[in-house]
Amino acid sequence: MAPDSSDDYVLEIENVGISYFTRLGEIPAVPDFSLKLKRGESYGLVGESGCGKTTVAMAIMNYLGLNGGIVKGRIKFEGRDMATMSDEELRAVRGSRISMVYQEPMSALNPSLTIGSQIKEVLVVHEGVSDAEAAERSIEMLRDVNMPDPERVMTRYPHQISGGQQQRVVIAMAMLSNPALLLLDEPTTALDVTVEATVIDLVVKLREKFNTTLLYISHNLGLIVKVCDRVGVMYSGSMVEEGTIRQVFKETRHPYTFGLFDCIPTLGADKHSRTLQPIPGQVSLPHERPPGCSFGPRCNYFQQGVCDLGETPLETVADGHHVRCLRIDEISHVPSAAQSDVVGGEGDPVLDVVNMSKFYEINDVSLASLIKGQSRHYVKANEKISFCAQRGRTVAIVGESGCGKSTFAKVLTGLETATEGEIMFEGRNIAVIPVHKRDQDLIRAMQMVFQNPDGTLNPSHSVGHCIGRVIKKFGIRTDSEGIREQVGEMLDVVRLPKAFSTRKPRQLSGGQKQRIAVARAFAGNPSMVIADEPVSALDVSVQAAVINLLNDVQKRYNTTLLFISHDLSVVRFLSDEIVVMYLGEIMEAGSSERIFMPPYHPYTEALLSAVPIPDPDIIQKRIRLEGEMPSALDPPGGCRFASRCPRYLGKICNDEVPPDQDAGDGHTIKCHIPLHELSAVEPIFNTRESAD
Amino acid sequence: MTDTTTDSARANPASAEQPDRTGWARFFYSIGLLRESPAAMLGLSLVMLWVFVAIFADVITVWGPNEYDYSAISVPPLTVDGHWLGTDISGRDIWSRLAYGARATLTVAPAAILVCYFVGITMGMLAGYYGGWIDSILISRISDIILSFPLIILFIIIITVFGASALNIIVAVTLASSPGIGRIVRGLTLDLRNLEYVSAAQIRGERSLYIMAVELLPNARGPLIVDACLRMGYTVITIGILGFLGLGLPPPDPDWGGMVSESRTMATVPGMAYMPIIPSIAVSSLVIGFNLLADGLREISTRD
Repeated sequence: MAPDSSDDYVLEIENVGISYFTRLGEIPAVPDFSLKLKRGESYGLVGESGCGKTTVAMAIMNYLGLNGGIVKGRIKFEGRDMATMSDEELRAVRGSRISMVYQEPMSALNPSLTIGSQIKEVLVVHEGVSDAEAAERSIEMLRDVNMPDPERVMTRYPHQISGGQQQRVVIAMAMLSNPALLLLDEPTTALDVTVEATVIDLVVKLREKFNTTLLYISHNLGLIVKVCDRVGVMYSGSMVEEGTIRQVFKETRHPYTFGLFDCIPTLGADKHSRTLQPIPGQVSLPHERPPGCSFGPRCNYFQQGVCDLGETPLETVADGHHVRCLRIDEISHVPSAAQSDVVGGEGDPVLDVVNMSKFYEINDVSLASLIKGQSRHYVKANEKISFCAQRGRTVAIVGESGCGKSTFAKVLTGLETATEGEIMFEGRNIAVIPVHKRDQDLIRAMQMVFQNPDGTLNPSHSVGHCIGRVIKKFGIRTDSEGIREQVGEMLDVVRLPKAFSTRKPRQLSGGQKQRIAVARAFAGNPSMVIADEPVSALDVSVQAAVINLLNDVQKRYNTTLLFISHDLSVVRFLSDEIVVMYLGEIMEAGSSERIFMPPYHPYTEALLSAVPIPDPDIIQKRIRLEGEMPSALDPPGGCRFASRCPRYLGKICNDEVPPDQDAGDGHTIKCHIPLHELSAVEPIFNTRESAD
Repeated sequence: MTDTTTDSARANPASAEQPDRTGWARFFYSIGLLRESPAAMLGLSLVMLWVFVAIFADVITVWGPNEYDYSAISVPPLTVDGHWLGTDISGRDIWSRLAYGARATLTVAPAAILVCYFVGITMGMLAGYYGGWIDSILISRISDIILSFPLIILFIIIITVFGASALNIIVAVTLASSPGIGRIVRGLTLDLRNLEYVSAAQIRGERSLYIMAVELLPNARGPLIVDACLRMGYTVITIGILGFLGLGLPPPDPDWGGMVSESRTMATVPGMAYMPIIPSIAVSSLVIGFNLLADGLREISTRD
């Protein structure tokens, strides 16, 4: 619904400054911020972490905590200055006229109350209705958020429903009192991509139905395109560019916005056709902002004597399109150059997995199992996994949480042993050799990069110790001088200064920690490195730098990279081959280009359709998965995906294990649907016929 | 033309943000943070005061701890020159006995803490890291059995069987405290062992002993230092109780608990009450000192 043309503003933020007061003194988190939202409008706020997006949302809700406060300016809600409202009035506004949906649904719900009593509370408190009426309206609202079986959900506790359903409940609670303004702070970051897509659809649908004004905060530009009409880009506490989706995405003017686009991998390109351009450095801390333009220290167009003097005003470049940059007329952006790079040649196989399965045994002690005489159950974490990885190539394993990709990594590294099947690595079957029985060479040949930058380095040890230990352990160098030299060289490889070797992890940023983790993994010159979601916890600009780094280091040492991820855009960019897993089984495998083109496996099709694309000109076919992923304890017989498949054929899918159909060139699809039918579908991604 | 050079110093503002503090520099910086908490500073001064007294006991006293001054028996504090805290019924200088008592307490207590931490950490690490039967049968159950025993009775049994000596006090304290320390360490280890740097160490084939000692233990030290400080206070009380029961250091060597015990009948005699009160105050002040210091340490360790 288009916002109406009258100046009916729901929210007006005028030159607001927000500060936190700490031991270091006043920290101006947001120095000067203005924003106006018309009724029914959907506005997106993007930027890296630490840019003040959440602080703005908290200020609107007046939830800044004990040490935060609005130091200047006004926030007007429906024409009333919120600073003049009493605590009583604020309480009445919050939760009924303004609602907020947070990132983590589990912590937004009280685990000791039923869903029903929590939802009803909203109505009972704010509207004083009777319990029966509240229940009725709550059920209706749950139906509106596409909750299956709402009557039953009302009697459940939060832990009994899935993360996606929890977020729906939170959204239902937020919408129940029909708020004028709904704040969504990264509502889908904790969710899987297919679940994210359904939640986003829901937000769009609810907004149309109730004509609610949305303020959508996200770091994901692709989601903003799907949800919002207008978008504001925040950097270090101030708005740097603002406009309609088309203006900001297609007629970008600010260098920071360019920067953000340049560091996101897009589905159309891979590492051979373009490079990612990370934004150098990191967001400066609020109390250390440079004079002049706060983006100056990271900007490629920074000019001394121009950009570092005084305030940079927000200028209007087109109707509704504002940019905060002094040099907009001088700079023109050239998209990152194509990288003429030779495709990695076919090498000898380094890893060959043949019918590998990993089952976890669970002893059921319930009375029912005793009567049935069936006290052992198996969690089928991996079943009949087969694929091959060649030297110097990147193989990605893709799937949603619970699909068994991390279990697979554990089996490979020997932290777990396989139940059956073979894993041939460097000519030896390592499937059942646990890590403490592997010899030095075998261990050295396979190393790992982990997901969480805060957990990957031991906080007690210096960077030099972390890398040096690997060098010493694997006998690359043994004398202390040699080790120090080698540590310096590894730091060089990951483009960090040598002086970093004396630093402790707490003195490093997330991206730097992840670089050290890469250096550590490659220090023993392994023939294969497993990277388990190495960039998913990082900001986009840092993510780009780490992806580039992984790519370069891999090329330099001709290492095989096994890249585990749920992010299809990153996977498309980085990998040569892709393996798609669902519930412990491989659904589809093949080269990167082939996976992204028909024929698709129905699951891959749904995954691709759910990827948020930061380009308003690309139309995605809409395929949404119903229901939840079944438990690995009791997976469906026949095809694992049968219970959620949008192209479900019938009985055959439930009863018979589908064949691995060969689509040529090593592309296999595990499905009952004949290949020619799968090939006949349209591609997921289509470019919109020129919009004007 | 546009300026496209990216000066690495300019692009990397974080490099200057935190000065490199390693080893002792960091230690003293942390101690410096204590200044912000008045309670912690009070605790630190009380403890340091007694440490000073214990170290310089022979310098700051005129009389020996077991020397009898027959010319001044049972003189109250501040009445006779040279006995500024007075003398006891045998004419021994209370200040001197207090100072040498501090020396005894502040030797035995840290030694006991050291030993029981060694035992407790070993138990807790093994239980937390390996889990399974080592945890549930070997360590946790044994701890439960010891913890379910009334402590004082345990002490009395140990000391009466093996005789009163500094070593046996240490043994008694270790038996009583290490299960508790073991539980704390076990909990910390359970938290830490699932972190990725531990997996990284396992994947590069490190031995379990290395992982426990080098990867896990240093990260458990924060809570353990706080706990050690608190436990130091409790141990001072324990030593006092043992001394009071006559199970402390063998007489006539001065011992704070023993001093209270010897003069306890004087508590109700008019003008003589100072004899049991002064050593009691000494025990309390040292214990309060350790507790306040522990609180302060907890505060700075959770803040950063």
